[in-house]
Amino acid sequence: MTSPAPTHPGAPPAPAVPALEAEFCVRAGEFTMHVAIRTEPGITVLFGPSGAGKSLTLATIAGLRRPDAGTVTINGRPVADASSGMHVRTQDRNVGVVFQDSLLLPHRNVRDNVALAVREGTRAERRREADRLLAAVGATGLAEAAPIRLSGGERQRIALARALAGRPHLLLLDEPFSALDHTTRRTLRTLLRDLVATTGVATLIVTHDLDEAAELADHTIVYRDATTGPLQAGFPFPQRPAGVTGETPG
Amino acid sequence: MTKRFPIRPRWTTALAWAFIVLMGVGLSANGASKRTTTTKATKKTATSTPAKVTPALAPNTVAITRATGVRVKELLVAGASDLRPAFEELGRLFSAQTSTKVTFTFGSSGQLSQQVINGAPFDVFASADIGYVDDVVKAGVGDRSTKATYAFGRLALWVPARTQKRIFNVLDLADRSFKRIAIANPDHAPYGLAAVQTLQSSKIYDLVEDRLVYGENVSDAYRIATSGNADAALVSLSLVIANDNGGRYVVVPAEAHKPLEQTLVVTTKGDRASSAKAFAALVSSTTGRDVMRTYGFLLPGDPKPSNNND
Amino acid sequence: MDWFPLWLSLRVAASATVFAALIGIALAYVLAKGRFPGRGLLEAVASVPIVLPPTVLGYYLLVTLGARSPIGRAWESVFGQTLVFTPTAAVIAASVSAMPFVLRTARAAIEAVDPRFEQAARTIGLPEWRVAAQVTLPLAGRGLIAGVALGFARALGDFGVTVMLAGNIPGRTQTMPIAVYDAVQAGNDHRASVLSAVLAGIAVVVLVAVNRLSRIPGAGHR
Repeated sequence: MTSPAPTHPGAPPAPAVPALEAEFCVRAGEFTMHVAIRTEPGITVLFGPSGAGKSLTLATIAGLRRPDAGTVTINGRPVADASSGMHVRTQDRNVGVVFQDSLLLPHRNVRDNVALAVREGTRAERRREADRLLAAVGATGLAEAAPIRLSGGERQRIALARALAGRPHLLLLDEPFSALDHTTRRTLRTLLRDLVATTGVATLIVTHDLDEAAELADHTIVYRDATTGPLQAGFPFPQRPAGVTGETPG
Repeated sequence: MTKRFPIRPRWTTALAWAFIVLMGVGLSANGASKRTTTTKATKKTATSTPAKVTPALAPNTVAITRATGVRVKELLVAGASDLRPAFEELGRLFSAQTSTKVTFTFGSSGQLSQQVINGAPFDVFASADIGYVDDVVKAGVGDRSTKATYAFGRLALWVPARTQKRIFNVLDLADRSFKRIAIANPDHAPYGLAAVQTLQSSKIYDLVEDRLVYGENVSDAYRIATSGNADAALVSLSLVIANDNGGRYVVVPAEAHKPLEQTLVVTTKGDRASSAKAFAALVSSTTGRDVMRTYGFLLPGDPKPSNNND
Repeated sequence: MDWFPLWLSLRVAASATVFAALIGIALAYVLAKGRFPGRGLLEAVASVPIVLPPTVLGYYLLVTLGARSPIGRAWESVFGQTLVFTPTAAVIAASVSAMPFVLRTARAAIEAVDPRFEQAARTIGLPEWRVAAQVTLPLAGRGLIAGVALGFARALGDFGVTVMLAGNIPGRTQTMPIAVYDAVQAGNDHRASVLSAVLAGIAVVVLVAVNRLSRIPGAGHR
């Protein structure tokens, strides 16, 4: 399978082991989606219409569901193999995920939410690390706040801090800014680019927003309706093929 | 930044405290249950312990024995519901004489016999029917030698004061103005069975069958009627006599049903048995007979006429 | 007036609530989340106390735990007294009748928790037991409190199972509902009405307390 070619100038050089190599099929309703991805450093955008299976791709990579065929390899370590039934739990894949809803725990304050995701250290060390991450996402003043009192943009800042707290091999973002207003969205895109540049974490972001894809993408993968051949694409995007070319399961 | 409301784990704290408190109360309840439950350790020990000798007993029973001499502090008596008024009076007499408190559990004879057989810590089982006493003896929890029939129960037809119709005997129940007739459950209550036998021997069972309502035991049946939920009741004469509430009643002839042999048996062993036997003796004594007579029971001329020892 | 039944009932119901809550919530979690053979059977068995008449349930317990059963004999040989017809038996009776109510309410609450919170917790590396303890159960908190309160009310009010398994021995196993019944049987309407009023009062207080508790912010929403 092909890998997305680097299109963004200044993208970091490819390391020996890619953060993600995945080729798998998942059944979604009547269709079987075929995905093949190999990440390069920087931000890879999964672009396509709603319902094309982009979120399903992220869920399979994160281990929240099992592929029906194929394999997923993160940082050189196989984490899922449908032929042998091998499935490494989400907890042990060390991926950071930001969802469209921040999904912060409502009964814990902001600092606790981030500190829970820090994987090592004493309680005090984990809280210090949480405060450092909160500073990195520009949310220092929110440490004691209840998530329910925050604005949508603030919540996604915290969610970003939480996703990075485990020092993940791979950062997965599923339409993270789509519920936010235009200005906030722009601010957070810049923040995301900075964070990826600082941490060097390989990042996959799902979006259906053309501007967002254009601004963030080091690499782009375009989804057709329910099946994807991974397309190397810079700009302009190729026209979306008409109709669905999914295979029926079984 | 705008003003923030800090989150405190108040809710989890509250839940945690609730659990801790419940745990504490729970443990104390278990501790209390161990304290308040009188041991039955003596049950499996020697069968014929002389009353004057203090046998080897569990600690709390020793304490009771020390405090009251050879008498136990509390006697547990399971009695058929018809016995409640008479036995409560006898219990007071016994306490006054022996400083042993008598605690009663009343219910239907069938249910109580099952409890005795399954390990209920009763010292005396007083049934409204000899058959249930035999069951208890057969199960090995009653002392056969203490089985005694000391009275015969009488059945009464009771109607509330509001009843228009005058009543003379059971045949009056054929009148459909008695829409509901309360009796005890014949499956496990001797007075219920006697009521059914009476209706059958009077040849009106078919006429009243669909109007019968069952109480769990004879006092339950009586309460159904006295609370206005039945228009008549076939219950024990003792309850009717004990609870004067303005209703009217007629006594059912004893020949109308099989005899209700009020029979008791001591269901405990060792030191407790001597107290239990003392209570049984009071029931059969002249004093006991007077009390039983007051509540309408028929008394055998002979002290133990129907004690056939199987 | 003899208030022993009130204290006994409160202690028995409190103990029974602890047991019913621990077992009920654990079972609820397993049934809500687990997929294993025999799950349907376990679910049915756990709901049996709701559908069986209390006296029938009490009878089965009596046969299982009574003085002539293997369990009853083992208990007696260890503790020197029978298990049945003691306050301990009353606790068992109340626990068994309360547990399914805790389980049902707790299970509904656990199943109502948005699974995406649990997925998010997995992505940050929390092991399953911490997902349960720090995410699912706190988010189901209101339902759990409601279930435990329902269980307490059920334990406090149990009559049929308790009267079969623990009997009606005044001063030992006569709980409030049984004392009310006994007072009615004895024609002591005054005692019956006073005890009933107290029992009803406790029920109202518990309900008000639960309402207050579950209105504390931070529980059960995102």
